[in-house]
Amino acid sequence: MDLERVGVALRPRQPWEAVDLGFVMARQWAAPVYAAFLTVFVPVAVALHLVFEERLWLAALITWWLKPLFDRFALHVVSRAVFGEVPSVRATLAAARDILSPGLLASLTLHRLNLARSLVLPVWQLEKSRGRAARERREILGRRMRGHAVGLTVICVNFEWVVLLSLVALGALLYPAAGEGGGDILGWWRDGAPGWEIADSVAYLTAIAVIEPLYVAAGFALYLNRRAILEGWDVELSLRQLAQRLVATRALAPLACFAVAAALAFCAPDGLARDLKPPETARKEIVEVLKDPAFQEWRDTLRWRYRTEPRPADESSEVTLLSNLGRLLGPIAEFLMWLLAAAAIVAVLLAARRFLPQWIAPREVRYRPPDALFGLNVTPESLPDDPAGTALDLVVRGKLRDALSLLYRGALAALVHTHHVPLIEGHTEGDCMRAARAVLPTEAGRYFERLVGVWQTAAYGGRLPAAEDAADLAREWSAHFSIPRTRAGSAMAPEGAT
Amino acid sequence: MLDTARRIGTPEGIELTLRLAGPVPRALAWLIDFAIRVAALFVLAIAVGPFGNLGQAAFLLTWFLLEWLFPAWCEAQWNGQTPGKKALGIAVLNDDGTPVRWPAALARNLLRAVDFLPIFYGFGLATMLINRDFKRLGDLAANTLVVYRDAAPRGSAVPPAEPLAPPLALSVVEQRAVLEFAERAPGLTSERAEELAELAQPLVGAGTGAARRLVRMANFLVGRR
Repeated sequence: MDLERVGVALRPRQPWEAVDLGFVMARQWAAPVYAAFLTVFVPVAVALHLVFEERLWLAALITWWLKPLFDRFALHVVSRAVFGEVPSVRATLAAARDILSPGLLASLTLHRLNLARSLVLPVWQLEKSRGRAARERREILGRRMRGHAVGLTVICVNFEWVVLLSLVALGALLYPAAGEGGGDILGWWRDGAPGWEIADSVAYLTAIAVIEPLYVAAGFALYLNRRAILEGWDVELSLRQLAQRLVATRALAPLACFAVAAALAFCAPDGLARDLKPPETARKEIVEVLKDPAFQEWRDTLRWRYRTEPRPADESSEVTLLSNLGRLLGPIAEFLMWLLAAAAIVAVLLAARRFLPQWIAPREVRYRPPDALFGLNVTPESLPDDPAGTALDLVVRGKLRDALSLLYRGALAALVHTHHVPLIEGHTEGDCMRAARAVLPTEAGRYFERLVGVWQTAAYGGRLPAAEDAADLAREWSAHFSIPRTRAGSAMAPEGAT
Repeated sequence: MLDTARRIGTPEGIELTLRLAGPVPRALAWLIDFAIRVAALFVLAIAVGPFGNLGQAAFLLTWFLLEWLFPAWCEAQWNGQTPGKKALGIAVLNDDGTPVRWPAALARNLLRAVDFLPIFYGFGLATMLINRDFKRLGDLAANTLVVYRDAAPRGSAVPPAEPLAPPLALSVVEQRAVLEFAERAPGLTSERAEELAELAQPLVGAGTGAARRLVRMANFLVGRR
């Protein structure tokens, strides 16, 4: 193993990166790797299928079981190619005995189902270790990488199925008769009979042939990465290069000596040491240098913060002028704002009063009994204690008009103050009659109508009734009406009564 | 030198190293995302059960959004990482190393439908195996890369020892080699460390204790005096 001929970058990698490197390696040396793999894989698989012609599933199963055998040929090519020596197919086959020597039986029996077998294989095949030594090596190598090797195996099994199903599906997509006439869309591929057929084997073996070399290369890359980290391969390479240069320099030294000596004669003897500064000074200088804007990182950030946090004060004069203006305008604007707010509140209240009458009911306008109706005084005080008697007296004395007037006034006063009919000055005699009919008993109502009729005829028509009729009216009056003693007795007129 | 890293020069003259992620970690990340989506839809299906047709509509809409837009949303909003990518330590970047934005994230995720053909990402896998940057068709269309975000493994700090000035002036690369040795030395067996140090014989001189002397020089190089 000559590290200086290694063809891959040997930096320490994360395990998944190592797997990726394996895929790159398989791609880079695809021709030799696949050639060696297929040279062994295809004849064996074909032979198996010929032997087990009756039970093709068994042939496929055995081919699958023999994967570790084929893997070794791919690994042989990849492991040599990494160190700059790509073996031909012929050379690979010639080395078959060496390739297969240790661990083949174990890898096909005890370790066939080992999920980390890609990582184990190089220990046997490349390190030629066996038995106890091999187990210890596996443990050391697998300490950090085993989980990733298992993951690699699982994913590669899935990749095989992706390739297998994609081949089938691609055929189905391109097959002209697919899906027509209710036919089986997989009809192009197999005749639909149950069981494993040759078509299944061909698809499956193709998938193995595509994925298996990738899997081997990835496992080898995991192994390589682990060893490079454990043994410091990258360090070895760089130290070797360092040594080479120093040796070359030393070979030139006699030649260079004169020049260097001549140069050194004019400057301090140990230029290297003189350039070096004590750590404290250097640290200070570093701090100074790092203050340079070139090393600063500027970042625009936008975030919420509390207003109580003090704001950074701006000191520039323009800003001060502006802020003075602001200080002047601020209170004015604030005052205007409050004014506007008050106006808005008032407007809202007005609107509410207007548009929401059910919320603020209008105040009940209290009824105030009028002092006079139709120019007639209707207050109780203005009436005699016994209007009917007085009226009858007036009829007897021949003053019919006064008598009717007194009866009518008394009736109105009784309506207003005894029966609480809210009569107002604007009412006509007809209005009074309708209002009276609503509250008075039928007899009284009829009497009031008669009284009003007689009064209207006398007052507006100038035709006085017969003295007998007027006397009747006066006599009947007391049966229907009565005058309260004073206005204060009226419940309807609490206001303005005193 | 075969490597999975791509180096990109920025206009500022800085060289960035992007470590590309291949099919295996990406498949694992996809599996994790898939499991999350299935679990979410399962829970949703139980939750919307009692709501009849309305629940079914909500389920189908969520399924659609989860399947088509959720990965793109994650990548555009979450430093190019879906939950699965985060678990694997990988992320999507533009070809020039800048973070992905909505258009690229949307393009590469909508084209998953093409990568899915003929079934189960057959085309995606094939393209990833063939392409030198492990790009699937969606990545090719959107000009994106999938890279490792977590740092490469490194040794510990240089173990303290009495500083020793190297007898010869060393180039930067050589100084780095000495430091690398000192950092990795605690992880190596002592025999291997000695063997490695003896390779640098012109520097450390003959005789035993080469590893020790090399570590002391590393201490000098990191500025311990």
